[in-house]
Amino acid sequence: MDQNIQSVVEFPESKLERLKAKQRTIRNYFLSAPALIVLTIAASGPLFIMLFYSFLTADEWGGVVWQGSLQGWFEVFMRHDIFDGTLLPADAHLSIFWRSIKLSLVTTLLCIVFGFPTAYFIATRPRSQRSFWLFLVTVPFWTNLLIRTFAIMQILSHSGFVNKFLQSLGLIEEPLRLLYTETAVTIGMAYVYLPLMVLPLYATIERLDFSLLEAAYDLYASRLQVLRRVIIPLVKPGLVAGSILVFIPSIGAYVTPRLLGGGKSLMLGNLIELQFGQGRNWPLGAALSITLLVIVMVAMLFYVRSTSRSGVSHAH
Amino acid sequence: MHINFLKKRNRDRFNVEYVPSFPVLALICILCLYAPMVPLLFYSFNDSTLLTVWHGFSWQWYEAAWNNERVQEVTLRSLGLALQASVYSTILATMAALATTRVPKYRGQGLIYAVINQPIMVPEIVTAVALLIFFASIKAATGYQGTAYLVLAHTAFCIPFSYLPIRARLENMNLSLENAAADLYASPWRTFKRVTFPLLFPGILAGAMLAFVISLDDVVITEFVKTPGKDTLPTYMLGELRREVTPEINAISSVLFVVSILLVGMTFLISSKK
Amino acid sequence: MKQDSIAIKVEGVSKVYGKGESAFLALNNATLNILDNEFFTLLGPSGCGKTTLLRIIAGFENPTQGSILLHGEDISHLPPNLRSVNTVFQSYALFPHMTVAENISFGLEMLNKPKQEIKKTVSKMLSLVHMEELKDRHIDELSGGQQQRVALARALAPEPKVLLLDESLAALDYKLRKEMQIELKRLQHATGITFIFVTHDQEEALTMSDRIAVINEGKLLQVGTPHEIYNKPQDHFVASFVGDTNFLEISSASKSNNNDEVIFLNFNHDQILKVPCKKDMALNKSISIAIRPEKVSLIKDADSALLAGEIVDVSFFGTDTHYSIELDSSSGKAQSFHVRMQNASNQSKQYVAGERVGVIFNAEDIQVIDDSR
Repeated sequence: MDQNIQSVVEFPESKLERLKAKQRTIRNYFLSAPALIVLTIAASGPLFIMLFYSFLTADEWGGVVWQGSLQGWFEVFMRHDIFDGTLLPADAHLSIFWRSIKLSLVTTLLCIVFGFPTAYFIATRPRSQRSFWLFLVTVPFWTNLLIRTFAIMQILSHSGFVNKFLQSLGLIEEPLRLLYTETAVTIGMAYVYLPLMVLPLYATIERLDFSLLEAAYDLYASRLQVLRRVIIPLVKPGLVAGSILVFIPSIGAYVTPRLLGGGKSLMLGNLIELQFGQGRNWPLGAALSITLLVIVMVAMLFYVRSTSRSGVSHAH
Repeated sequence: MHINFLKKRNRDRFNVEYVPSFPVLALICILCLYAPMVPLLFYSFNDSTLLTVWHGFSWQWYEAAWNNERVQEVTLRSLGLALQASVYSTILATMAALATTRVPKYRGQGLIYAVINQPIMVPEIVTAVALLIFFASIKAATGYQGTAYLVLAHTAFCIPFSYLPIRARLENMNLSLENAAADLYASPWRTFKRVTFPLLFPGILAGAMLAFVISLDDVVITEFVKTPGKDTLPTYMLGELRREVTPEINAISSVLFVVSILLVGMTFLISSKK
Repeated sequence: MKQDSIAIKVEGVSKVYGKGESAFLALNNATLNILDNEFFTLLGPSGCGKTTLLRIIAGFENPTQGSILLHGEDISHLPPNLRSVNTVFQSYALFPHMTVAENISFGLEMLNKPKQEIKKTVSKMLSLVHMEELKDRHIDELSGGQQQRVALARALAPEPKVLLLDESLAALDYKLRKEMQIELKRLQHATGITFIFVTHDQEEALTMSDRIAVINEGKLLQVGTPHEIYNKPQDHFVASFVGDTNFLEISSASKSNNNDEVIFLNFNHDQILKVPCKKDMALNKSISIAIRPEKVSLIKDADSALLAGEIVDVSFFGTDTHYSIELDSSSGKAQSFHVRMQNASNQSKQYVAGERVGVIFNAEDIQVIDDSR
């Protein structure tokens, strides 16, 4: 009898079961392979090629010369003074870095300030109404970026709605210069990316246990205290997810700063594009792209750390 | 129970959900989401080339857009591209979802998720530039200049968008249904065909529609990967916006906006019929 | 008896949900007084309105009509965060993003108590519910019983005037429930705070309460001590909901005078029992009486008993034996009767199914049920 028990302990699964499990794993690898192959060829793989290119030399007419060089990376951060050749930081580039980060953070903040109440509002409607409000927020999300950016262009233009409105109230005489400023870019980005903040926030708030709010009120909390001490900490995962979803496209924005910022408010995306157009400096463009990617990954790191810290024993 | 959404206190009960200022901010926000579209729609009917001074009602810009050969060409190209991208990406995403959902942990799981979600996690401009470089070298090596690049690129970045709704639906499905089918002698393929697929279908449909819209809307990657001269609707519009803008753009935009409304409406109707 | 002061006065409280045709009357003109330092239970089946009443006292619902007074002050329309009343929720509603100690200190922080005082009170509460070592644990690391105790400590920390408990023992397993029942009684005595406890479990209500209010379909049926509720149910529902009861229709009854508060009930063989009743009790139809199964005995001699019948079923329950008896009926309608006899008395072993027996009981164990109210 002891021997039977021993054999059960040493071979817990039957051979057949292990074979079936192995077959299943192989099947799964095969099933997911096509998607992974396509993505590797047309999304992930090229990133490595780009990394490689950043270490090559620029060719005069665009493209690269197959010769190793750190020039691309150097030019990301530094430049030589044209007169005496001294080493100086590449202020044009650095100011663009700074602008991109700054505007993206402001955009994210704006999206939180307006997106959080919106998501909360929708999540606290009676169930029958929620689809309607979600529909209202989803439509802009599925509307072309260009259309929405164009709409903002029109509103902020010289004879656009904002100026006409302010003039009709008598607050200003001459139309304000709203377009082609950093403000316009920020407004444009916030307008375009707002649904990206609202939707994940909504998903989190919808799962909020409102009896916790009852408990807080029962324990003498004021409305503001409930917001600060109960609601916000509990929806933090949604806030972080929404912030990431807004920050990433913001910092890599290309169309919006192009149309709303004019030549004065270039962001990183425009700077990169320049190197593949008139700039004819592919290695620099590649290096700048990698830099952008690094900034994004740092932001993602914050995200991962904050969600794992606040949810020590929470299952996802 | 009736909830008065703007009042902080109603006579029936204590409004636990009310947060001061939130309803107002939310309504302002939703209003502002749609407000800019109003002048855009409005001026598409303008009887003049101006975009901000009303001259009278006219369909001329819609007619102009309709008859514009260039617009026809880019629209057809966009639609064809979106259709292909949506179909291919949905098929691949379905397979990937089946392989990665409801399975015990396996090696490389994190990596696989990273690859599948990469188009969402990486800014478009980075991918666009990387593809530009990559395809340029392939073009140089093979001389192939066709549309395959664009289809490939679109399929790739559409995959995560198809994947997410399918995966969500799959996770909510009860494994026991498929086990029951297997118990009744169904082979894996037949189980898929008769049990899994029909139940998964709303998710697949949602994924396909989302992928279609994402592809249709794409500007940045398309701009960098396209063959010069062969535009899609968004890249065409981008070009026009950088030049002299006429209400024709308003007309095209309005049409696209209405199409978005219809598509979103359809999606909501389908998912509510579940 | 010393006049105890009244903690909560419920005056004519009604609650209507919905409007027009779909309107639902959750509470119908409830009036009752709950005293200081009392363990008071609201007892009734699901959906009877007891939780509604509790939520009205807590402040989460407003009464459609009537008022609630706390130590004389009208709190009917005061928001919950301004009432000195705290609740232990059915799901405990513990804040998952805070530790045990932080949960307990929450109410005190909201009341802006000084830090030192908060620390002291939290320690006091932790030792009161025996949770000292777990003070820095997160909520999802606790068992159901531990969560229950944290919820209690959290609600007691701000020293409310009244503590409300909404079916808080419902989620616990049997043994833990029994322990917590004792624990709750102990806490109520230790703190002197009025506990208002909601449950559908009549056994729980009888064990723990100083007084019970039985509610059904929004109506307050009877308020009294466990003894009164059990032994002198005033109403068909109360009699059947609390414990097992036998209901009998006595077709033959009389009164000396119409205004007497005593009624004479006729049983077999000219045996008459004198039983108290309500002054204006009508005699035109048969009288309903209730009697508990354990107050009834069987005798072999069916002919000399108050009632007679045949044993249909015998069930052995360890400490006692239950008999199901079908009584002789002149009207042809079968009346079943349940008898519970303790096995210790040795009498019970004598009866078997199919046997014809007599049923006897005392007049003081009969409760006349007047359903005409």
